[in-house]
Amino acid sequence: MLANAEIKTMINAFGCGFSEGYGNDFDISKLRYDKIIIMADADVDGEHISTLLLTLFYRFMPELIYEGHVYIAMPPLYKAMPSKGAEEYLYDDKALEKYRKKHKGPFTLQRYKGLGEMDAEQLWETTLDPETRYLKQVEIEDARMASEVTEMLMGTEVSPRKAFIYKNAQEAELDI
Amino acid sequence: MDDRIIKTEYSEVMQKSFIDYAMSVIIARALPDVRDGLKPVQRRTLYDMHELGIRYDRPYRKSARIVGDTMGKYHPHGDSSIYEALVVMSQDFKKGLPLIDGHGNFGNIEGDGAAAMRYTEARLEQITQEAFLADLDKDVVDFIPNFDETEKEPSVLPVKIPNLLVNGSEGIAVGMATNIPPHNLAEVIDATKAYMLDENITTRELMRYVKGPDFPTGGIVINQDELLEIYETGMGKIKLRGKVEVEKAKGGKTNLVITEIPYTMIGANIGKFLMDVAALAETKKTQDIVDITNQSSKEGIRIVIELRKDADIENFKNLLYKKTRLEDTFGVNMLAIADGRPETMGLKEIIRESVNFQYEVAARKYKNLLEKELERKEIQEGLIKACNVIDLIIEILRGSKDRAMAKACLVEGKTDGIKFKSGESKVMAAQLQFTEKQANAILEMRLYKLIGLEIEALIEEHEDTLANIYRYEDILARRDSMAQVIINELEEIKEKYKRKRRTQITNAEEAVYVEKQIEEMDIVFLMDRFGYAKTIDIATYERNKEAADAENRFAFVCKNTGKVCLFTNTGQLHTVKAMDLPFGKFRDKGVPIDNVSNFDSAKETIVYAASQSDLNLYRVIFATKQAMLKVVDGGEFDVAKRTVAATKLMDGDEVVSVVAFKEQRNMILQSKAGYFLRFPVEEIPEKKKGAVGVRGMKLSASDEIEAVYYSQNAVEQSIEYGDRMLELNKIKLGHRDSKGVKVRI
Repeated sequence: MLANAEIKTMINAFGCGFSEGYGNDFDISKLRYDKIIIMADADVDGEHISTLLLTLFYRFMPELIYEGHVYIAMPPLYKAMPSKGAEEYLYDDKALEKYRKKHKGPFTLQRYKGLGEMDAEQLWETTLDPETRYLKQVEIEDARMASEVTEMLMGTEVSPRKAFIYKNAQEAELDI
Repeated sequence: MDDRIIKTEYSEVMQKSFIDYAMSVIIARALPDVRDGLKPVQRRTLYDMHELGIRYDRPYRKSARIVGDTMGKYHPHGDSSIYEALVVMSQDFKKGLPLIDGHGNFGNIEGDGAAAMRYTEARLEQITQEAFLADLDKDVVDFIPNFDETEKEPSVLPVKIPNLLVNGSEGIAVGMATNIPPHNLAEVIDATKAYMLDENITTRELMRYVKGPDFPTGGIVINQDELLEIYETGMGKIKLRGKVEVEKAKGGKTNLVITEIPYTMIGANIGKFLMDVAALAETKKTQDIVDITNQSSKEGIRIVIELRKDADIENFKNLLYKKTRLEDTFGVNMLAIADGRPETMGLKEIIRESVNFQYEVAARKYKNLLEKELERKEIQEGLIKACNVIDLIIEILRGSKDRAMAKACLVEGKTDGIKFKSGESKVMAAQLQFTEKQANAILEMRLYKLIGLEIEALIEEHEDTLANIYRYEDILARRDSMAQVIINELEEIKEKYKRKRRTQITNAEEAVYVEKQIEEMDIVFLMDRFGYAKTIDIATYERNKEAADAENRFAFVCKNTGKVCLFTNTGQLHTVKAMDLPFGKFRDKGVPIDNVSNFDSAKETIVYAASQSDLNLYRVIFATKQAMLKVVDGGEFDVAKRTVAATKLMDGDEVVSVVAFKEQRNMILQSKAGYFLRFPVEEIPEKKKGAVGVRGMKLSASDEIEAVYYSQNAVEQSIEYGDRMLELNKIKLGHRDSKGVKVRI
């Protein structure tokens, strides 16, 4: 895992070391940033990357999460551009539905598949500006649950994962 | 700072994100839909090509255009995954029924990839247009908005055959994967027909048509008896072998020629197979291989293994089946998306899903056609009626002020404001009662339509329309009729595109390889002073005994199945299998012993060599420079390893002499300074091979043992020492660990 250049860079940037293997020198007091914000594309692959990063933090730097330093950025999913009136960013499919009901006139819809589709100005407005952005703060209240879920989703056993998928299949928000 | 923060529990984020990702990959990425047998990327590529009009009878178009168009319109993911999908759909060694006709380098069976998409070109195959993309304009499947709602795409293609079976599928999703082998088109169609005629048909009965998978690479399925269970459950292991032919070669030799590989060997595994076969020869698993060449070309697979004259061919084949991937397992898991859920399905379920889909598509198609024909009928009836009363209609038109007035008269019988020639015309005009659509058609009718022949044509057309309506109503009303329509279509596809089965289905015995028993015999090991070793038979040795003994440093008898032990000055024991040495003529040069053993002539020298089986009967004496002596039972050197430590040495010490002996002897140690010590070997203690020896002679500080001799009491034995002969038995018999006597030169 540490062969991955991005992960190395990330650990170095955090400044607080790493709890296993490599150094074994995790020290939360040396953390250089208060907020570590995971910013991934607003699609399912982005979600997947978030789960992988969260697992990394949970397994090797759990205090980051326990002490509330880990956040997930929320880039918008759609931008609605009506022929009349102001543009609006929509953060999920429910917001889009609402918008459709509320908004009678025709509008153009842009679907953001990746952060790369936004220019710097848009990214600032929608996702980065502390004044207006939304952030999800990841916290652990139920430590046992956290441990069980991590093991089930990321562990080596396939069958619990399969069972979980079958059980929760209906709740998934698909990206087709 | 005024962040809007939403607190979320770790385990919830994880579960939610994971299930979204997992289900998206399962439903909309990695697994095929049971109805059309396509994954979204494949479906979108085909639909895009259809929309771009890249038909089989039109010129090829650049792959990059297709990929770019598909990506921009329907598939907002990586371009490489789209191009890969396109490439695989065109490869006839991967797909039983290629869907795309590729032009240019689309890769080959040996795993070379296609050229970059800016070089290659593609268009649809004819069957793809006829059996996959037909009727899309007849509202036969649902269309859904694309990712940014600017386009519509079909949620499934109206594929007329059970493509999931014909072309198979492979894909790895999250927590599950699919692997479906390809089948023969004609057989699958026959099975589908059989199912349609009797929906209670069993899997066993369906297998009268579908005998097993049919891989484009051919090969042989060898576990026919297990196929029923695989097709019933949708899971299991198919055992697959390549096809091997025996050809006679020059000089009475035999060539084994592999003309078909197992489907699982496609790609880099062919290279691996060649390496595996070469390794069989290198590791002496078999001595039968003379050479292996891959002569595969655009004509097909041809891997030639040249065998020795006396090779046991059946046994060798079994070795290949057993030790290489010439026999392989295809792990079947017929998982596909049905009703939006991943499901493992048997043969019958897949056919059932496909057939139900056919009925659904046909119902939508004929409902659509019927509506159109009914509309046509209405208009035709209006026009025919109009032609009969054309004078009256002209009167109405001429008398009307505007189109609306004329239409109102035709439809509703309103005659207000229209000037008629006679009152009779007015009464008749009020009774016309055309429908809205008829009135429009009449108003737009061209005058030439009034020519007699045109009217006849119209009447004929009307009759056709009536016949069509009758037929469509019948298809929609009676399942039998619809079934017949579907069956006819299947028949047509089968006749046009059927192809012979390529994979043989059979039951074969499990491959058993009997290691060849080599007849055990005595041979003579020879090694010259340069370290070249060989073996020759005893008779040859006897004939050349004098030369052999003079030219070689070591010459002794050993077993051809046995090993030779090499003791080195560094205290190591290297073993060499007699098999690994060339067995041949007396004048053959042999091979450097370095090449067949771990012995390294740059670092060590050989002190002694002996046959391992002989050592068992002897005891071995070690003597070192520092006069350390020990006796080891010969049996301790009966080791399987290629190298072990034969003795332990003190720092800076090295072995001077190793000798195997049986009978009572005296040992004579000679030091550099000229001291000789003779004593009985019984005085040397027996030790383990890993132990260090005991002191054999008291040496002065800079002195060391130079040579070791042995003598027997009754035998006179002299050595040359300096410039005179020294009679060994004349040296005073002493005891181990004494100083010995100085012999003056």
